[in-house]
Amino acid sequence: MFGRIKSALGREGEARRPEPLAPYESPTKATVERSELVARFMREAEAANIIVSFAETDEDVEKYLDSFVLRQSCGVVALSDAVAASCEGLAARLSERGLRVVVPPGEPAPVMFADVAHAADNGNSASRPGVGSDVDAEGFKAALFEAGVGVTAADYAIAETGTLVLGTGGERHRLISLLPPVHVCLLDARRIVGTLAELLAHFRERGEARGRPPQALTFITGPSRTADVEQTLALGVHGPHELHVLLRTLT
Amino acid sequence: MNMTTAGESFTGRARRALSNEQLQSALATATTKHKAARAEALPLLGAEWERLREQARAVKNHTLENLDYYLAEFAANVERLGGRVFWAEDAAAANRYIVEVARRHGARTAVKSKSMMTEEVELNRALDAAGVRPIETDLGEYIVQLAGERPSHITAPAIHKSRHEIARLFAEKFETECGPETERITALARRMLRREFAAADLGITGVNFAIAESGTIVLIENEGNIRLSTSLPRVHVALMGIEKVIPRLADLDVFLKILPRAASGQKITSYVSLLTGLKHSPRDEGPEELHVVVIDNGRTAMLANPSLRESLNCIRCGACLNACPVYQKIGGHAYGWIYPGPIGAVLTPQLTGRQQAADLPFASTLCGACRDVCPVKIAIPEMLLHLRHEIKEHQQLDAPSGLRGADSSPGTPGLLATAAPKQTTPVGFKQRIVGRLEKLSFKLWARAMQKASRYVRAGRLARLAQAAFGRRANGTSALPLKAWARRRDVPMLAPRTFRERWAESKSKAARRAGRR
Repeated sequence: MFGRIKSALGREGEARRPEPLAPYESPTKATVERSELVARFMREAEAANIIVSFAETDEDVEKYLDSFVLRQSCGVVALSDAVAASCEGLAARLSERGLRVVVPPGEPAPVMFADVAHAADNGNSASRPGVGSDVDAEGFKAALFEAGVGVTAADYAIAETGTLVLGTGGERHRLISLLPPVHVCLLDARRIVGTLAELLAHFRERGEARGRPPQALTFITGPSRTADVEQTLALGVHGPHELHVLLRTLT
Repeated sequence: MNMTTAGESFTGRARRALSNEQLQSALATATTKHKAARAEALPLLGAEWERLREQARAVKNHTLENLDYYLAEFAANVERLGGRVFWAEDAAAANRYIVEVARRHGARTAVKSKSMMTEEVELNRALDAAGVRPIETDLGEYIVQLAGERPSHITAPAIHKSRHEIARLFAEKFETECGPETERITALARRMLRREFAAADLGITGVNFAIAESGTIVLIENEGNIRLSTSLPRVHVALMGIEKVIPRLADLDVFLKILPRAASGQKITSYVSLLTGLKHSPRDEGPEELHVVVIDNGRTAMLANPSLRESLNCIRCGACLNACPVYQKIGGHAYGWIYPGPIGAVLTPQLTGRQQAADLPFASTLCGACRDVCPVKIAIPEMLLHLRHEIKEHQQLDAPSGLRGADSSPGTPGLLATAAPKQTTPVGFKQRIVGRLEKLSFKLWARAMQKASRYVRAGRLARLAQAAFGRRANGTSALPLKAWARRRDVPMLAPRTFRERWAESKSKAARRAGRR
């Protein structure tokens, strides 16, 4: 096939690294003010059908999660690695109230991107035991099909679009944020970046430094949606129909 | 898969679409909604929209010019991170490879997310034949598959169906009640498809962008079925045309801004997945195998044609469909193959053969609305003109079939190839005469336009002819023009030309001046 491509381009021999194209420079200037970033993120997130709440302290987070999950009156709740590790006692409290709590099987995920936010406050969450999982990979999948709520943490958020960014490495987020009909995502306000361009530049640096980028990066902007039936919006066609963000602001 | 359009000519299909009232109202609503969403979204970007389009076009052109380098870089990175790359020359080779992967895993079902490439190579048919049941999981595609039809729009496959029709279809297929409310339809589809996701062995997707420097596959969606297809099954197979590669992660910024806006007026879609190689350790989520199938299927021939090369820049947003006055009336199925609308009229003749799709480049008013909305600024009208030229030249040559393009490649599947073999070469006698007459008239026209004296004489001749043949039937009872005028208004020549009147008024003025 390379022969055909080369002859189509009128070229012979080894392809040489081309002179790279000048990168795109947006005319909109970058926001540096933290409060502005938070406000922009909130505005855009809400426009994308995300429900945003606030927490200032660890206690606020606990209170929110306890009451939120119990209000959903579901039988099964799933917690991601970072949530299970950083919200101590959450799993135990929910179990006491009769819920089945599932966490990803095996070793808790090593922290990759969460090193500034979640880990900086409480020590390195990777070294913490977290909650022991009572399921294997298949059992975990099966439980997620039954779960009513999935709780994860976001590694980053993008203000200009109201987007949550979840990466593997820090979190086994892929199924917990997708299979249950309600997804709750914890976000540290310090992890909000202004633009997609900033975030991509950041990942590129990290990816190069480590030799390989995270295997899966998921950008989430709102609940699962479709307009395939008469171009009318419907939520929750495959993924969650509700997406809640708990924004941990600075005191 | 059913071929609803088989055995019918383009004009036949178009005529049928025009008389289908349900389709007409569905198309009107859908394209209006699309355009309104877009019109609302774009002004927010102001002048940046133009800059984004320019950059997107520049990145695409740069990549095509260095396609050998970037494809090699992409493939090397995929393989370094545990994925496998298969180079497929044509549809048959791609299908053979994927069927083989399915066999090796003893796959019984495959969940598929929306992908134009899988439509192009007709993967579903190949899987079915091999005993693997393909399940479309995008809601629109799922509906179309259940109905045994074909998608009629690139981003809204079931645009031609009303919710009542869909509810009836679901009720019949699932033997259950289904109300015509959108929520009920969606909920039932979710329930049925969850079972398929839980059991499937294979997840099959397309690729929106492939990043050379990191070996990353980018997938863009709103529903979440792509995420499910790429995180639940043990094996992920991704199909991409050779043109899907872009150089850097940073280049994604521009494309993630323009694609959703052009397609549906969204700033960003609900989900964007960046998948790079295989999982790092067994405890991670995700498939155990990744196969990236890179497909030519006629694209290197497109690359070799400088006048048409830029049609490889298409990012499949569907904006030109919604903007096109022809698409708005005849819908997607009339175009006969998987790529409808203006871009379809450019791609289909190139991918299936010029003579197989000879009508398509002519089914355009050349109004340029497609070029104006295209987020990568593809000059579609110019390409349509170029294709018209190629097709006419070919018809006059009366050459044997399979002269140009992909139609000689044995693996090219195609609805049109099976649909309309009678239209193909050798070109019929009548067509040849008409073609020659057409060419002759254009030659005469060109000669007349070259010199003022010739133009004047030609005008006189034409007026004489008009007087002689009479004004009946729009003044065009003259034989060759009759057919031409059936769908066009032929302008009547004024009894006196502007030049004559100008000369007269000047001499009058001179006389008046002389009297004073």
